[in-house]
Amino acid sequence: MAAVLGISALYHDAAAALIVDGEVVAAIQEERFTRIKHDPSLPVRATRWCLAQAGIGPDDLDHVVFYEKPLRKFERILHHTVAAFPRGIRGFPRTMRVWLGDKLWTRTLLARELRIPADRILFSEHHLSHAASALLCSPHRDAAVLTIDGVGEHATTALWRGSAAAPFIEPVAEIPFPHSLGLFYSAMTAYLGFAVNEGEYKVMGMAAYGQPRYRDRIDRLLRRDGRGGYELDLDYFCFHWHPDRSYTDKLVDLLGPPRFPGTPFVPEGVDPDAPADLVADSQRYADIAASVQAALEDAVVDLARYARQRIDAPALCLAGGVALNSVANHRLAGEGIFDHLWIQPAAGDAGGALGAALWAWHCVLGHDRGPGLVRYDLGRDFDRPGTAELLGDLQLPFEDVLEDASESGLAERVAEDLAEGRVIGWFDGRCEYGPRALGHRSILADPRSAAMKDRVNARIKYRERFRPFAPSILDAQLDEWVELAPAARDPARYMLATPTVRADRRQQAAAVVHVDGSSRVQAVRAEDHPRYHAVISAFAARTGVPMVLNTSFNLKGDPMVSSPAQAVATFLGTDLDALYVDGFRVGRSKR
Amino acid sequence: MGIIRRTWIRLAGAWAWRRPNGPVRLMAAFSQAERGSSYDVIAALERTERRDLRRTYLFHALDESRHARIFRRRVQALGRQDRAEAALVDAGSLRATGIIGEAPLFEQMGELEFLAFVYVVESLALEQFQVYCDHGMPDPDTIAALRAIADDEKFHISYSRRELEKYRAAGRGAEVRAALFRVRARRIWQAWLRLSRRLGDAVSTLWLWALYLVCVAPFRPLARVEGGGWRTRDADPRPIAEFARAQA
Amino acid sequence: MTDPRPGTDTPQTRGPGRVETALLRLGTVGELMALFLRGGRWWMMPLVVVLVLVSAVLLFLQSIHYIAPFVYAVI
Repeated sequence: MAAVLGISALYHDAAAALIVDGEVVAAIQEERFTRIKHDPSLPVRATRWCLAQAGIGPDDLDHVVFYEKPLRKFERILHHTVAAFPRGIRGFPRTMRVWLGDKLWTRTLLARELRIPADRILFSEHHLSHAASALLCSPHRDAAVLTIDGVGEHATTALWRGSAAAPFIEPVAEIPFPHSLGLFYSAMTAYLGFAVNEGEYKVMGMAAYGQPRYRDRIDRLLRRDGRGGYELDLDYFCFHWHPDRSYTDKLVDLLGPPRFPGTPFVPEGVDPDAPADLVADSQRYADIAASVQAALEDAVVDLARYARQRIDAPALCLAGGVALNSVANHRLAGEGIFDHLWIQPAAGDAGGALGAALWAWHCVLGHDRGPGLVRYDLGRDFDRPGTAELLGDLQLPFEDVLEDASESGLAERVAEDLAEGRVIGWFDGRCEYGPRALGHRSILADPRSAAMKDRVNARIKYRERFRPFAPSILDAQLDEWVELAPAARDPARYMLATPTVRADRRQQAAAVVHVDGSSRVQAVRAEDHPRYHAVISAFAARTGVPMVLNTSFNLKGDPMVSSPAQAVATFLGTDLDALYVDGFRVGRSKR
Repeated sequence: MGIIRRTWIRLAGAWAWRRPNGPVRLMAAFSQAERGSSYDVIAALERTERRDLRRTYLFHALDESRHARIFRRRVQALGRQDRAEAALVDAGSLRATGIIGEAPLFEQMGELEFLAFVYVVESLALEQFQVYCDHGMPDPDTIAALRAIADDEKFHISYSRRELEKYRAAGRGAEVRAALFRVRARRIWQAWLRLSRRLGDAVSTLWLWALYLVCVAPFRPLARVEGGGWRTRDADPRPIAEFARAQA
Repeated sequence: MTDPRPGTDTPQTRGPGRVETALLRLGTVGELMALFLRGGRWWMMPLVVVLVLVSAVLLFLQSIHYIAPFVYAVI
């Protein structure tokens, strides 16, 4: 037996991923254990669970692979500290405390906390890990690989050549820090009043309400160089030297005052009773968001054209946080630069753990490529007897639908609940690896009426009214409902593309069509998730609409629920009508 | 003890409510604390051997997460302040403030000590809320929220006290005393850690600033920030095994 | 730093011992120096040396359990 463990940690989303004999047997983010969203701390609990899942101990690991090279990163940070003198003085103490006390000694930290011999620890590179997580999970052999995120060691964007034979991945080109598409988008996220690393989706959602009226000004911040690359005007940004802020007063002079977090967002045409100045402000922010999104999309398309120019291959693989921008992804797919697009579902830093492990397995240890990513439900599951005992102890009314009515009966029952307007918590099997709920830790609802969107936003997720919901739709009927670019077929399986819904269909799925007519679909195939596929099929048979509204099973600010007890607590703490946990249907009881 | 403690709460509270942006910061901190407790109580529910306690823990957890939402709404009502809102979603701060430890409290403590912890912490919170309300420190809406929450805290205190009594009645009084002692001692230790950490941060900021001015300044002319755009990159010349072992 | 945290009394197998930890850290320092010497940033070496020394003092004090919280205050 040979086993390799990948680790991402100490920056964002810590995670662990375990490969045993070439198969990815377990991968999970640390936040699913600690309940701290995007928990960056060393994934001790995730690691322990991965090893237990495979039935092995730390001594059985051939290698542990950290997802980046810490000393190279320190070099970059130190260099920019010097370059930013004297402005960098504010951030210097905090940075040095963290690095000199902890991060510089990552090897020691890994050996101590994970209890493995230090000589078995390997170090990938940040963007190499991302690249591996995209290419080596994809079905493609010869491909261009683009990784775009905030920053790794030095690079913020990198291009790689994927090939069928070792070394499988080779570097081609990169764009250096601080010129970063990811940090540009994050800075604008902060400007628009959302939390960085958290609110980027909201900017994407907000953009649909606006027109890119600020495009000429945004183009001053983010300059495309006409050769496939881009550059930031650093006068407008300070993320490279300021500890708390990411944009300067000059940006405020250019675009006007930033949006305060939590301000109601009421753009034109949404609420006739809203005060006029609030509407005007909201519209301005929507227009800025639309301009930022358009600028990002154009830059990503440029990068892809450059990639095609350097690498003659029909497929493009993508990873890095920017690859989670599903609107940009669909735009890219529609440009026809590449015939196929494959995007790592865990495109953010969590995916670096999987990438680091795959890189070591194939590129360092020399094992041949396998079939790619076969499943995305790589996380923790719970046994049914334990769940039954828990539900019994909690004295909640529940029935074992799976036992009483079999798989098809379960699907029928869920479809009935949904068709009758009930919103349900859906907890099924192993949790997803990555940020999206893909039918294992989801809240499901009837997608047909617009009122359902408001209800789920306001009374279940406790989140802003303007935010859209996504549908899970049967893959076979996808084209009848949306205008999907052919290259986006794979990304759509993982909710990574946002096509336009056909105009004549929009009324039939009002809860999951965004204001601009788009929808971030998840195309569900029976082989990807049979039980979920059966549920949607049963719903389609009842209603003629082959999709359900699917949003992650959590409350605002919480990570997704990971255990049955957490599912029960979330269920009872919200306005959900029913909860399904691995085939048990749970109702409410009085206190 | 009671009087000293109440006086202390009163003095500290007077400062905490009146400092700039004080109410928002307090509400944000309370919201985080309640959310952290909710996680811990759910973890207790999952791990407990006392199956008869599971339902009680569930209701406790639901209370805590509702309280977190109430406090969060107060934050939004009291002022839309950058920092307070950011604090609510800041991933690291729960752990940094010691609200959430590396392992759930229940794993660190075990059943008896966890119950002792609930009893001690909820009693203190109740007392704190009462002092705040009695002296009219918060605004009327916040007082109403605190009073509503205080009713739930009474339930948490009563069930944990009842369970501790059961342990005492079963002849485990010494263990209960020891657990209560450990809980109180740990709170003092953690307060000390927080205080010294804060002090240490302040002092180190000063000398790191000095270091910055003395040691970083001379190199400034040599460092320059690169321009953007694509740079061609060659493969690392080292053999792959060596490259993989290197941290640089 | 091999001391368990206060409050965790679960027995755990230990990681590398003090000597091994020290050697690992020396190795890291070596790699760090080599990185700066090899790359185009050799001129930052004096700064790197100072920071490594600061870090060494810091780690030493951290290893003494009861001073740990005060580390930054004492040096």
